[in-house]
Amino acid sequence: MNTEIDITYEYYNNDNNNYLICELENQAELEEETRLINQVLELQHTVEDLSARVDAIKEENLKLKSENQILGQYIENLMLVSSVVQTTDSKSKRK
Amino acid sequence: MAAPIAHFDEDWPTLGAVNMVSDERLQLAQKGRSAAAAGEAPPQLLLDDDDLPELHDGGFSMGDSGGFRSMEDLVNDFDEKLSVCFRNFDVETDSIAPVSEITEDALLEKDEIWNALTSNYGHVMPVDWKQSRTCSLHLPNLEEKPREADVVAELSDDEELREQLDMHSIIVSCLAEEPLFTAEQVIEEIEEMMQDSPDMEAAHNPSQSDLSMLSLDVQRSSCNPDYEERVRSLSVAELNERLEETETNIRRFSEELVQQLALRDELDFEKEVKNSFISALIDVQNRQKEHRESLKKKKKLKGGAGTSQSLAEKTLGSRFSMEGLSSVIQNSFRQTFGSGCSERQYLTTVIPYEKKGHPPSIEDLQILTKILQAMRDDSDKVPSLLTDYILKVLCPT
Repeated sequence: MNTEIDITYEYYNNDNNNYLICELENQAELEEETRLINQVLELQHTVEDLSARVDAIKEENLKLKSENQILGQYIENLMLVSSVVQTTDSKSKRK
Repeated sequence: MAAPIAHFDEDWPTLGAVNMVSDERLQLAQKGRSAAAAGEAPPQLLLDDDDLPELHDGGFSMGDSGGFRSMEDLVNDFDEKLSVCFRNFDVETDSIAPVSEITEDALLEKDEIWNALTSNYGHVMPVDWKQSRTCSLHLPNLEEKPREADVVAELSDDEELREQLDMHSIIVSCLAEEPLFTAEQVIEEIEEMMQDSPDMEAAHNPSQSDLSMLSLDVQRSSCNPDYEERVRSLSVAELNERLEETETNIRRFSEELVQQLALRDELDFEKEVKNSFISALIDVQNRQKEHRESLKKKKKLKGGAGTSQSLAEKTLGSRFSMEGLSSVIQNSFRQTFGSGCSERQYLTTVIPYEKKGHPPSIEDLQILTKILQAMRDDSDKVPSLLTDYILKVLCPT
């Protein structure tokens, strides 16, 4: 009888251990999953910030390009009109 | 149709009667002639009796005077002949030359094609739809009659058909693995794509186009509140995959950001160089203007002083006195060499420039800016800088 009880108790203990082990494993998996989820969400926020920054810089560069284009045109016209700078075409005409 | 033929009736004058008339006229003419011959000598040009008898009928007839008949007589003669010919104007012409009227009905009666088309008009009835075979076949199908027989079999067939034709279930089953987007999300995505289309056109680089699409996806996911829930519903393996994807996206965006920042620095530098060139050029122009004005003023002052001195010399003594000559020589020396120390010799330098059709490059602008700044400061470096510019930029070997 006692052996039977011992056997049953041991069996019950084994089952309990198995159950505990399973529980621990599940907890570890859950933690891992939670960690991964948080990491994914955090990195997604980083990606969003980077994307917004890139878009802002691109827009700024477009503005600068157009400004430089206008300045270049202004310089070209100024040099044609200025008395400080003499174009070689007009010099050849004078000769 | 044959032309109407004039029938000669008994009323019409015969040829003998006509001859009789002509004989009477001839006799009249002869009488006229004889009277004329008795009175005067008729000219031999006139016709004799032996001439052509037909002319006597009505052409060239003689008058009582013996000469040509007048127009009135001719007209009357013609009138008489017409009346003799036609006599009765009220005669009915149908008996002489019957004229048949051409009517549309008459033409149609003779037209074979018209008869073939219209011969059955009114004789053949139109098609009666109700009695046609097609109607008899259609009507039974259109009538909603309760079908008690074979209802169960038909229902099963219908269900099978419905299941086969259920497109919604077919599509949804294919999209089970993909995330479902609402109509609003799709519309927002399309609007963003339309707005970003100029940027996408300018992005010739495939990496840039990928990045632009990626930024759209990022914006879409950030706007979507269900994104977090979807992430939480993923498995560990899927989460790891998503993590890797996100890290690669971060790397790509970082590289792109670095490139764009470098480009921004270049553009800033270019803008700065251009602004400094413009300011130097305008500064030199202003100083040249001031210098010219100051020279003019000095010339005016010296000219006035010179004239006053000469007047004074004249008043004091003769023109060719020693004192006068020495003062003139001194003034001339002052004018030529006197202001040489304060004169800006490099300010009036002219820089040659070759017209290329496009603005000068950044390097050229930097060199020109240095020259202009040296000119503004009247530095001795102007000649060397100008020489370098001409040798390296204008005429490179």
